[in-house]
Amino acid sequence: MLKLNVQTLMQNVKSVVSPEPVKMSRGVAYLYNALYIPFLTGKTVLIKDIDYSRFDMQDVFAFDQYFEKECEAQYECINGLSQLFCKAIPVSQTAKAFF
Amino acid sequence: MLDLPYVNAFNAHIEILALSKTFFDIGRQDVLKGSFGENGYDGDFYADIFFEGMEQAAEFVYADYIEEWEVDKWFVADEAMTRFYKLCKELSRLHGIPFHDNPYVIKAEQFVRETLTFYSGGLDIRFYTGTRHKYASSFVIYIYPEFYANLELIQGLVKVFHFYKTEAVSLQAELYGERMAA
Repeated sequence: MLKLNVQTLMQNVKSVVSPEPVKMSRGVAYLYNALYIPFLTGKTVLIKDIDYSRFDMQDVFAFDQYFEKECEAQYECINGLSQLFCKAIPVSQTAKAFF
Repeated sequence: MLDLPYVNAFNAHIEILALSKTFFDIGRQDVLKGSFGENGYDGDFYADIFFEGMEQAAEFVYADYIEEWEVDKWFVADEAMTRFYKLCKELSRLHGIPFHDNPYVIKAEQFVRETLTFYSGGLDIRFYTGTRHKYASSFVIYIYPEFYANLELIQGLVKVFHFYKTEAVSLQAELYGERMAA
């Protein structure tokens, strides 16, 4: 059965190095703040509310690629977690469960 | 691309963004300030954005649905396109060049082919270069249910009609001098 050692987990979390900040052009950074953050928080931005002079079409493509990379990273993470849970052995209802 | 609802939702954002930016880049800020701009960056607005975007893509737009084939038929025309082909015919007549060998006609055809080619299937475009009336030069577009690049299509049409507008000005300048073109 898989067991979770909370102390080891805490040590591992502490040892995690912060990722390097992603380098973005000014245009992509603007789109990140104006579109991506509201999208993540469930807010709808109107077409007229975007300042289209602050980025060019290349920034739109770069923004799209940035988003694709983000999605792939998240997908890998979800995939890893689902594989981990698939390996877990079912426990009886009387046993103490972590969740 | 990953098949996740989250990904599909944000892909709609990118499509809307590219279309809006195209309107802005060709100087159609009026579209973004009008009812088109009242739509949101959200998949729920996709249909409204498509219909309003199509209406703004050219001077004359007419839609029909052919029930027998389950296909949407769009007639899209702009006076600038007809003016361009009228000038092309004038240039061909003056220089004795066959219409289809006219460099302006060839350039326009290449531009249209490059701009209105999409990865998605389910689209049929007929291309007319008539000059008998204001909207004789036009596109008749058949959209089948499997076609998915709807906003890309509008983006392409916006670019194509802008191309005809700018090319008509330079062609007129070549034929009659810059003062006439202005």
